[in-house]
Amino acid sequence: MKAVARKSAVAVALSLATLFAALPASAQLANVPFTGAVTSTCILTVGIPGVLSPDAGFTSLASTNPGGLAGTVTVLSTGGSFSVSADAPSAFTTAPAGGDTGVDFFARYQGSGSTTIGDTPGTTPTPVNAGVTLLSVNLRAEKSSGTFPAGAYLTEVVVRCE
Amino acid sequence: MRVIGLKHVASWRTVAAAVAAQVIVPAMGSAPAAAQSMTPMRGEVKSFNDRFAVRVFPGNPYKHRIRVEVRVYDEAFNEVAADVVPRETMIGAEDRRSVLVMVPFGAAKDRKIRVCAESVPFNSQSARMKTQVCGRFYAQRVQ
Repeated sequence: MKAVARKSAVAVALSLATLFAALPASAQLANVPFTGAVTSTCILTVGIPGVLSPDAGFTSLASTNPGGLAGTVTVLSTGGSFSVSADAPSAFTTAPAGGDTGVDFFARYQGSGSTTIGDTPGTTPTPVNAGVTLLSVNLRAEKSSGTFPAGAYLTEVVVRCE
Repeated sequence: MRVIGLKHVASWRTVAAAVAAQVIVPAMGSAPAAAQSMTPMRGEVKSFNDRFAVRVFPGNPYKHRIRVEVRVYDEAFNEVAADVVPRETMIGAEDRRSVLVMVPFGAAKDRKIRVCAESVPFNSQSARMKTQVCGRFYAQRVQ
């Protein structure tokens, strides 16, 4: 019995050795390296342009008046130390005669998302965290004397990331 | 979009060669991906010349083409007289362009400037939003 068992064991060992010898020798693990880099940058994307609407007395045109609409800008920051601000214009790009005289402009903004920003004067820069921040920008044009005459008005707020 | 004349192109080539030979811009090493409004946004430059150069890549994150203008400002946001090639360009959707900015030192040994990519994507409303992405660069004159 012992001799038979020994012969069987030898036979199995030889069979296994033959089997493994027939397999390809290249079945090994290899690591494939991947590298990547994200540049530190800031992306501004305008969502909705603002709409100015007059108040009841026609002494102000503002996005916060009934019928007005705040402009929205999406800020995507990948890091770094970037700040956002919103510069009010100094004049209308387009206005009817008399509409652009004695007008003061005030821009304000607030933010939500990766950075929460309360109602802030446009000239005050606010640092933004990495991620996406949605800015809501309001503009107000006030006439120091008289009222805004009828016509089309156009101006622009500069939203800056630096 | 402004069309660049042959004379302008020739001068650009000359200046670009000079810049490549004499100016070190460490921030130029990495190629930015698409859909970025401007890269790099920080950089230090050392120049052996009486002016220095920065290459920036304004990008268009929108799904439609936009016109981008590159302007140079000092620390107080006063516009600086600089050669910008091209100063104004159309950028396709989710694409970017290479823009070369060259700024004279004048009498100064160093300068801090802002290079700003500006665009007006929408024109239809009464309060347009003009976006401005500015990179800050510090340049030193090496003598």
